[in-house]
Amino acid sequence: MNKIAEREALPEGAESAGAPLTSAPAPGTPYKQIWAIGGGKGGVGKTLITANFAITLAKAGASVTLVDLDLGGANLHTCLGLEQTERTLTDLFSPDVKNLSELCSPTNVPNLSLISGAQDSLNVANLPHAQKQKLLNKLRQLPSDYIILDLGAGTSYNTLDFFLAADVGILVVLPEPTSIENAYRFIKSAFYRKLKNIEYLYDARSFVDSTMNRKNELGIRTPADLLRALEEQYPEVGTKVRNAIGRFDIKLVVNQSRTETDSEVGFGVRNVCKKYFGFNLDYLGHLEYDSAVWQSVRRKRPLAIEFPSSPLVPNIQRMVGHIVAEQAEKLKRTELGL
Amino acid sequence: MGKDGKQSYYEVLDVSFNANSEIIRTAYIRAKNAYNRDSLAAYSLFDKEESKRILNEIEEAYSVLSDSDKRRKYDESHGILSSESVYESYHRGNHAVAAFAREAMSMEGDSGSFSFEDDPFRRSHSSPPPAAAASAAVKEAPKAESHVDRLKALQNMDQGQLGSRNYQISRTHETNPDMEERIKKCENVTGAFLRTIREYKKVSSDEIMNILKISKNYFTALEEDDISRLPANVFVRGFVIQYAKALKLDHEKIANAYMDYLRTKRTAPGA
Repeated sequence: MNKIAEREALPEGAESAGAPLTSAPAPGTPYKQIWAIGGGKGGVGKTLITANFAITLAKAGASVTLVDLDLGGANLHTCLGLEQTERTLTDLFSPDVKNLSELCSPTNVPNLSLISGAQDSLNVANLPHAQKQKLLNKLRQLPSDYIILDLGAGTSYNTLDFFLAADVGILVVLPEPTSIENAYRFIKSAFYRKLKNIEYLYDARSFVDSTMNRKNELGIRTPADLLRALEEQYPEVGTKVRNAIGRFDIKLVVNQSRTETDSEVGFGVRNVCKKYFGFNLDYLGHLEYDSAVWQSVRRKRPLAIEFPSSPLVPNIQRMVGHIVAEQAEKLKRTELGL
Repeated sequence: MGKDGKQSYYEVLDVSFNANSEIIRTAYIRAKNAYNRDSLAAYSLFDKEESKRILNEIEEAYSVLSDSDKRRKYDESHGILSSESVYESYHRGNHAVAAFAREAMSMEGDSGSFSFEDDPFRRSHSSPPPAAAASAAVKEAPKAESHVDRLKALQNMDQGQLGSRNYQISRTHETNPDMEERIKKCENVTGAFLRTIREYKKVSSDEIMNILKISKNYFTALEEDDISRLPANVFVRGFVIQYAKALKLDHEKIANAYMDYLRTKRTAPGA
């Protein structure tokens, strides 16, 4: 992770957290989902997985818009075998763009369109809160069933906020120490970002702040300890926080596994997350290292189209199927008012 | 997790109360691997000493849960009904459990790992046949039904996912807007309120007990708000979560609201 991103992740960042970004659809709007794919580290295969998740959804007949939010390092178009599109997210705030659909470019896959990432604009890479909210609202208005966000590496507030505002947040890791460390840093930053955004902390806030120090006197070492302590000392706030963290829905993909031990890493991370952060990580599974993937990237063609017989394709489909089924169940419960 | 911060053995291994020995063994190996010295998963969040402590907890949990005698005693002393699996229930003639399991599985659109095809009770079972239940579920699906269904079908059996299925009871009952509103609000969740929801949803106490696998003693203590007869908070929370899941409620919300109530009761003077 680069130094800028690291500095941004500190609790005392330049930007105040402000109100949390809201992304809940207005009542009566059609069924629509935002999925965000991130990961603490570059080069773990986020873009590739994003593209293939989107293609899987589109091939099943859903309309999908891919949005390259890897602000500053956008290359989703290359992964789909497209040239740089005429308009990109950079044009988002130009006065002649009324809605996001104008920035969508068709792809070679039916039902799948793309909003390319900004190429050079630092302005877009550091969106202020109000503009982030505006972008999120506009994303919700896109006429697609699924809006898939490819987030950049690192733990900048941009990345965290889009990740937290999405309906589904997916983390991609490699079975390597640096990648796992970065993923934990990402989850930790997201956890505290979320905590910071909770407005009803009130008098518990200074208590929370005092526990941020690793060597605090209360012996609170982990976020899970903090949740327990909050529930004890501030039962009302504690319960609300636990509910908010309980809705923390993070999914994990282990990419490029080469051995059985590699694929088991996901279960280890899940266990550790439960103990350390106190939430249930949803381990979607692992994708084996496959040289076809690298060939497909070199030929600038998406895997699911170029190599439909790759063993990775059914694995990706299974993961997508799992998420869709789970979200449909969740939606049903919400509609029933549960 | 209880007020004392101690996890139950089931939580330590991250398995459900009715996990069979095979699931427990897999979970044990995975948990051990997670905290081993050369594991990628733990070292950056837990130091050596903490990992060692967690490993000891895992060993302790496994030594009890892997031994059927010790497990039974542990379950009994913590109010968990004997850990017989659904499969065993079926073969021992516990058709109520088997029938609900079958219904739950067909609701989820997969056949599960057990075959109930030869169950003679199937024909005389009074609730709607699985096919009808499944088609009812489809009608409730969101507008973009076709691609959601196609995508759902892509999901094969979960690859090595741990833990067993959560059973839900689905039954048609008359909808009462007042009651729905109360459930939605989720205020003053007491054992009595849970019972009201259960009765509203036309689910009998036996059905719930079978699915929750808790003893009648604890079950009545829970519904009658006889706090002194309930086990430690950590276990009560587990019961309430499963209770709420069986009734298709928001189990996190219900459990949190109930635990608030329980804590107030337990810390109240004279409790």
